[in-house]
Amino acid sequence: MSEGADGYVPDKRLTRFVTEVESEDVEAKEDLCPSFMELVHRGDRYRDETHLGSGGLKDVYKAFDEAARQWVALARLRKDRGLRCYDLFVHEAWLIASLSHPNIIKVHDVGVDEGGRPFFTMDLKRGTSLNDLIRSNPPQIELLEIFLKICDAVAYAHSKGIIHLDLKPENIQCDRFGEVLVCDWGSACSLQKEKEEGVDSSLSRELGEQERKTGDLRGTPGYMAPEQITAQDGCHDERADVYALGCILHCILSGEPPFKGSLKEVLDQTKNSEVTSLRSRFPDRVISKSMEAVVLKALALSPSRRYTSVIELKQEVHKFLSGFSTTAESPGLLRKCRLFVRRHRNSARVTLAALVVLSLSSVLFMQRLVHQQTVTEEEQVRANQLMSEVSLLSTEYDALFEESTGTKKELAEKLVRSADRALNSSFFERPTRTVTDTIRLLDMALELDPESESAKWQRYYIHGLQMNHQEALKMELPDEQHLLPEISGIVEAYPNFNYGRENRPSPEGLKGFFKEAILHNDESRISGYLERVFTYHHMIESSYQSLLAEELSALVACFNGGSGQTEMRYIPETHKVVLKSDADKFVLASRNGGSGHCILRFLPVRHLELHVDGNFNLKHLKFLDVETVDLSYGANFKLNSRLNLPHLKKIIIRSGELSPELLREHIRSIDYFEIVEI
Amino acid sequence: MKDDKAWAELVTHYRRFILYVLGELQVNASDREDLCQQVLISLMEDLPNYDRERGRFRSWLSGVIRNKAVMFFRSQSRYQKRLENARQKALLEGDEHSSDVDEYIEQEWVAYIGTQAMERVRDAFEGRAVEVFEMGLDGVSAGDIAEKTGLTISTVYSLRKRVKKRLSEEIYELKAELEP
Repeated sequence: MSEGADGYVPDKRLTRFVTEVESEDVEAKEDLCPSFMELVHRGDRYRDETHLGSGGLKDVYKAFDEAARQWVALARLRKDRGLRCYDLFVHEAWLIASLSHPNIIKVHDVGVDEGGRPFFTMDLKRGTSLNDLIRSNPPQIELLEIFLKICDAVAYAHSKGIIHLDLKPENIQCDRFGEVLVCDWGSACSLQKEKEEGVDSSLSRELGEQERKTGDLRGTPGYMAPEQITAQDGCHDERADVYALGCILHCILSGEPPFKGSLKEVLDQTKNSEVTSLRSRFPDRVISKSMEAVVLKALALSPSRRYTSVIELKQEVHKFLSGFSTTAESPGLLRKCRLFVRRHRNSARVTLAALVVLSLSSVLFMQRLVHQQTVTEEEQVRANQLMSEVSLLSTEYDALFEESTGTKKELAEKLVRSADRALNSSFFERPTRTVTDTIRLLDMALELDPESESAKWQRYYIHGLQMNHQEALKMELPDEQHLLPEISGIVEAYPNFNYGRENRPSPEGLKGFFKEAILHNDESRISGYLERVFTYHHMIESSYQSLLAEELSALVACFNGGSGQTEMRYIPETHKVVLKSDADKFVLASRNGGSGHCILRFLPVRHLELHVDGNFNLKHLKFLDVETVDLSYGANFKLNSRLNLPHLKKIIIRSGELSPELLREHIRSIDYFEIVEI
Repeated sequence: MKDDKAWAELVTHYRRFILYVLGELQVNASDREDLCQQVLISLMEDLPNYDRERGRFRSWLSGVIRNKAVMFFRSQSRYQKRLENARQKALLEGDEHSSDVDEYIEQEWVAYIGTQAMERVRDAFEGRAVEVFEMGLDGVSAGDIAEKTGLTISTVYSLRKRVKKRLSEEIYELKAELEP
C-alpha cells in the first residue's frame, strides 16, 4: 500500500460488504429490515396526497384511500431517513395498530410504496389539537373532561405494556363532538421490550455497545419527565407518562406548561426544580386547591412521589369533577362538607328552602320569642366558642406543659375568665349545661394552677349554686378577704348540704333554706344568687306535676322580708297568683347578679292579684305571660318605663292610683287590653 | 454562501479519496494537492451535469480523476520525458488500458466507502464488538475468536451479526451521501 492521504488507508476487506449492499438482493435486505420486507410487494392504493406536516421520522399527508374509499392520514418515512429508520417506522405503525381504544388514533393500513419505502395510514384528524383548544380559553371543566379521556387512553396503553413518552397538548386531537385522540406514538416503547432489553443490556454493557444514536432525546422538553432527561437509555415506566399528564393538566389549569425559557433552561428546570404553587403563580386563573395538589403530585421530581398509575391520577380528577375531595389535597372536614353541599346542590337548595320557610313561619307565629331566640342562639354560639376555646386550650395544654408556671397561671386565669363569662351570659338560658361546662373549665384551670384563688372562688360559687355546701367548705379559701361574704353566711349555715345535679333537696328543705337565707343577708345582696340556686333547681326538678310553686313562694317571701311579711299563693286550676305583702318595698326581680326578669316566670301565671301596699315598680312584671293583672287591692304602684306584657288583656286598678293614660303609654301588648277602674 | 457550503461538503466527501488515488497513480507528493484541487474544481463544475441515467456515479468520478491525471502527466512528460510506470503509460496512451484504470479507481472507490463506513461503525460501538468483527474478517473462526476474547461463541456470533448489520446500514447511508 502506498503512502496515504491524510492518513487514509483503504481496508480492502470491506469491499465485499459494499458490493453486497449494492446488489440490493432481497436476502441482504431481509437481514437488515425483516419487518419492512414483509410489506414489500404490495400495491399502491392512495392518491391525491397533500402534505399536512412532518415529524422526526415521518411526513404526514392527507390522501384518498381507494380501497376503503375514504380520506386518511398517510404517514411516509421522511425522504432523508435511510434504511436505518425503516423498522423504527414500521414498528411505530404496528404499535399503534396493536392499541384499540376509542381515544387512541387508529391505524388502517401498513405497507410499502412503489419506491420501496414504508408507509402507514391512520384516521384523518379533522379537529384541533388540545394546544389550540387551550389557547381558545374554553371552560375549564370542558378541558378536564378531555383530560379524563386522555388518561383513559394512556391507562389503556399502559395496560398493554406501552408507554407513550411524548404526551403533550400538540399530540392530542379534539373535535367538536367530544372525540379525543392521543396521537404520535413515535417515541412510545414497549415496557415488555424495555424489560427484555434490560436483561440483555448487561451483555450490551459488557460489550460497551450503544444501540441508540447519541444526543437523541425521546420526547419533548417541557413535557418530559426529569428521568427521561437524566437517564437516556434507562428503563422508563408509566410514571414518565404520569409526569407528562401532569404537565398537560398544568397547561389546562394555567394555560401554560410548567417550565418556560430556552431549551437549556427548560431542561435544567425539569431536572432540578419542583413545580411551585399554581394558585400563587397564576392568581388570575381559577384553580382549585385540590386540582393544584393533583398537579404538584403528578409533577413530583422523584417518580416515587408521583401517582403510581394513570388510573390513580384520573380518579383524582374524576373525584374533583364529581365534587369529591381529592386524596392529594388531604381535605379537612369543612372542605368535605363544602364539597358535599356542592355535589348535592339541588337537595341542599331544597333543604335550605324548607329551612327558610320553616324559620319564616316560626318568626311570624312566635314573634314574641324572636328576641329571646336570638339571645339564645347568641348564647349558644358564644358557649360553643367557649368550648372550642377550651378544647384549643387543652390541646395547647400539652405543648405548654413544659413552659413556665407563669404561662400556666395565665392559661388558668383565661379559663377562669371563660368560666365567668359563661356563668354570666348563658346560665339563665341553660343552667345545667352552663354549670357542667363551667365546672369543666374550672377543673382544668385548677389542674394547671392548683393555687388559683379565682378558680377556687368560682368553684365555691358553683358548689353553692348546686347546694353542695360540704364541697364548697372544702375549698380551703382564705378567711380574710372573703370574695363572697354574702354567700358564705348561708353556706356555713347549712354545712351538711351535699346536693348536686343528681341529688336535690326536698321541697321542705329548699323552703327552709330560702326562709333561713334572709336571716343571713340583706335581700338585695343575695337575691341574684338565690334566683340562680332556684333556677338550677327548677331546671332539674320541675315537671308538669310539680311546678315548684311552694318553693317559689318561699323565694318570693325571702325577697320580701320573709314569710312574716309576704305571702304568695298559687292556684293551679286557674293559674292564678295571689300576692300579699306588708313589706315597705316589694320586689319580684333580683337586682344583683340575677336575670332581672320577673321571678314569677317559673309558673304559668294567667291572673295576678297584688295585695301590696309597699312601693312596687310594675317593671318587675316584665315579660310575664299574664292575662289579667289586678292591682285594685294594693297601692303605691309605680310605672315609669316601658313594660312588655305580651298577652295582657285586662288590668284592674283602683281609681286614683294609676292613670289609664300612663298605663296605655307604657304597657305593650300584642292585643288590645282593657283597663278597668274600680 | 451556498457555493461555500457545497464546496466544503465536496472537500470532506472526496478530498481524501482523490489524494489517495493520485498517490496510487504516482503523482508526486508536491503536485498532489494542486492536482486534487483541480479535480475538486472540476467536480464542482460538472456535478450539476452528472446524469444518473447515463452511468454510475463512480464511473463518472473515475473519468474526472483520470482526465485530470492524464493532463497532468502529459504536461509533465514534456519536461521529464520519462514515465514512471505502466499504469501511467496506459493513461497517456489512451488506449484500451484506460478502462483498466477506470476499473482500478472504481475498485478503490468501493473500498473507500467500505472503509469510511467502518470508521463510523467504530464510533458507534464501544468495547470488543468491532474487534470481534475484524477478527472474523481476517478469517479467524468463531471458535478461535471466542477463545482469544474469552467470550462465548454465541456472543461472538451475535456481535458479528450486529456489527455487520450496522456496517450495511452505514454503507447504505454513505452511498446515499457520496453518490448523488
